[in-house]
Amino acid sequence: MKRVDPRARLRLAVLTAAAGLVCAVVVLIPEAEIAGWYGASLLRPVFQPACHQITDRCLDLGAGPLPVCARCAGLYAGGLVGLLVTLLSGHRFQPPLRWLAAAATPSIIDFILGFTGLPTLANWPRFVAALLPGLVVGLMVAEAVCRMTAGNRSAPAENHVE
Amino acid sequence: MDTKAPSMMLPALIAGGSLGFVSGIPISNCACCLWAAGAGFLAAFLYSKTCKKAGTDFDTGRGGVIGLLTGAVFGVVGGGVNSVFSLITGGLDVESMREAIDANPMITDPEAAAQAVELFESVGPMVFILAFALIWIVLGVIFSALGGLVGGSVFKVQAPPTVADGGWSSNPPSMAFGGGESPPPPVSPGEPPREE
Repeated sequence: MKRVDPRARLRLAVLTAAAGLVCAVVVLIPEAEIAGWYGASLLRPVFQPACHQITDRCLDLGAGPLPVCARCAGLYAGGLVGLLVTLLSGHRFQPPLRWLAAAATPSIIDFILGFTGLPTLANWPRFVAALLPGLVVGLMVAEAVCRMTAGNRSAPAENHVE
Repeated sequence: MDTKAPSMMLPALIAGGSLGFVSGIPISNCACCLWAAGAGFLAAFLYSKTCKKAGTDFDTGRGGVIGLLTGAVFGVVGGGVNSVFSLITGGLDVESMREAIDANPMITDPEAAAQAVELFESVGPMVFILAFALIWIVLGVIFSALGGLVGGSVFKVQAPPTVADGGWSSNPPSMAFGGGESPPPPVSPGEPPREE
């Protein structure tokens, strides 16, 4: 298994910090509202283009519904975990596309069931089902960052055919 | 061979425009981050095909760039379509905004709800449309760039060497030889070497 080179690790750290910030904002908005931070409610519409925000489908961690649905929360959390795994382990996982297809299957089935009006998963199982594709996408993004860094560094050498 | 990279506009317009349109329709407003990421991924796929035909490189960095471009198209189209739908369905007049805010259990703070209605009344719907379109573009660019990065990593294309024998690269002569001289013409295996 290939190792993450130090320059790629720095970029990955920045990307992971940004992803962590987004996840923290998602979790902290209801807490901030409870604490009387009025501006927090105005942050909810920021996520509207990225999620339907139907309250019944959002996780409630005790302070009120999150600003994104359980599926989106699972995707974000999974993506963060994927980036963290690559960053902390220092290994490049290089997941193929079929991993993503396999990981997304439960969420796709759940989506189709919901679309056709059949019973669907509850919020927490839906969150867990979305964690898997999120995780694979996180690993893929981390691999893409590593490749991009490696490509930039070795570009002049690759111009010559040995 | 002409090694100039093909234009990224067409794949960005096709992928960003089509998926932006679909995601802008209120009925398909589900997992919109995936629509945006999918647009970047699709644009990377389309562009990799073009690069393969043109015999040019396509790598992760270019995937990220085409993802950014696609995200901008996605945001403009998606935001535009969504705003048009909001205007058609009357979702942007003050009364329906007040009703929507009152009926939305996600807005848990009544003071924030009142502030939002006041703000909406004072600035008018056009500012909201523009702000919303801006958010749409920012989110579209972020998610689409991620999709493009992954697409660039998955659909990587390496330009083939232009001459099989002798191994001359497809790069400009100045890079391959260092002196800006033209490389010698290709020699086929059966042909005797030319005399200068």
